[in-house]
Amino acid sequence: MSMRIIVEENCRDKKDEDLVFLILKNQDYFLCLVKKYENKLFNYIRRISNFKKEEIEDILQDIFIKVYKNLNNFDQGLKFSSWIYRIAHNQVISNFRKIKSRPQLVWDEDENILRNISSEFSIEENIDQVLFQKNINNILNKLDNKYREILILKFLEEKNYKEISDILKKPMGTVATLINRAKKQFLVKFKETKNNLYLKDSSLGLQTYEKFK
Amino acid sequence: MKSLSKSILEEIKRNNIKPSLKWKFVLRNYLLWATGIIMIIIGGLSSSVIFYMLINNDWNVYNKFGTGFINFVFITMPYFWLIFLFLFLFMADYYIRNTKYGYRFSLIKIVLLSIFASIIMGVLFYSFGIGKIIDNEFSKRISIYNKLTYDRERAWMKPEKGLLIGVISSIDDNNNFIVKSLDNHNWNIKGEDILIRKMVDFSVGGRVKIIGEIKEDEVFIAKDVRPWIGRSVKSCIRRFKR
Repeated sequence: MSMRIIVEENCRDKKDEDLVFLILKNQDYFLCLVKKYENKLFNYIRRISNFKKEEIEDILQDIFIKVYKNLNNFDQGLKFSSWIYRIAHNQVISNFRKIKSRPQLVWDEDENILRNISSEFSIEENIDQVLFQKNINNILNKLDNKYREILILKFLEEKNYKEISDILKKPMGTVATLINRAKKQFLVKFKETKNNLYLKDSSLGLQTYEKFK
Repeated sequence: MKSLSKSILEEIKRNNIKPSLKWKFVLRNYLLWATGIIMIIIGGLSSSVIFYMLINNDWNVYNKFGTGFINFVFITMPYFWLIFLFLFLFMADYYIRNTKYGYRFSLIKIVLLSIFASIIMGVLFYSFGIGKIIDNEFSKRISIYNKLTYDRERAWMKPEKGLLIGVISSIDDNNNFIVKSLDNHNWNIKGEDILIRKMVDFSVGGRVKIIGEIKEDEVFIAKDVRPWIGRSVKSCIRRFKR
């Protein structure tokens, strides 16, 4: 058995924090962290950036190299996942600055996640839920960046307030305020989108349109 | 995605990338805290000068300035030091927020705490006379300082409003002496039972502030002769030497 396979088997049940300790002794353990987080971070980056797959992979590579270089800067006061998400957030911002114009690539979301979010936003009617789920990415793209990312962290990445506070480096109170404002802006944009759609397609029924007018 | 994890590890090995040493991160964090604290201490020193200037302001004769109390307060505010104080508190906030967990405190909390800390330090420094020393030293060593700070001499150079400031150039007696004002006019100071306060340096070369009224050209009827205090003495000495 190669060293890499041994390492992969050894780290299966290890906590992230223990892995950091192991990586500092044997860099092969880093593979475990990369494997654990590459998909999660890939999804997070595509949600907040709408970058293309190849661009995201390049960013991911930079993120993991940074994580490795800064391992000694991680301390137990944070969850490892918050720390690595923070590095990802900073790397994406730095890439935004390089690429000035924000691409508008829309990705499909998992249906379960969408269903959870629509219940979170109290979208009860079936017709609205469908509309909501179909347009969530479009609506998110219309939000201010700060609101967009905080909603993604809360509802798509399912992070709690403390984790969001550690990722975005903002006090918890500010996080709560931002989430409330973001939800309000999201609902306004959702209603605008819905009104536009009803105006375009009268087959959805005048009655439903009137309700939201 | 499978190749990504392997390529990252290969890149790390190929380029011999190593985690940065822990002490560098620890040192950075300590430096940020230390700089933040130093900024608050400098803020404390600024507030001690502010206290010194405000306490030694001419509050009891503000009506002589003919501006009304509110205007007098605005005119005599030590703006230079207030700007200095806020500049350093701003920098303190910046450094503290950039420490490892600094972001967990709200901006308001950090700002209020640093203002509170500099006020406490300001009172302490003032009580040890540090505010006065700083003001005097700045006045002596930094030429632009006197132009930037509230100029007490200028405010007292209003003989038409009953305020005069200058150096005694000759003395006949307590009710009859000559003062050379800051604009180089010789004023004959006359009066009856002029109140000469305890701390006044009543001798040739002594610097005084006088409250009274103009009688005629270059004759000033004095009622109250006051000492100069703090920085004003120093800055006045320099002006007369020039």
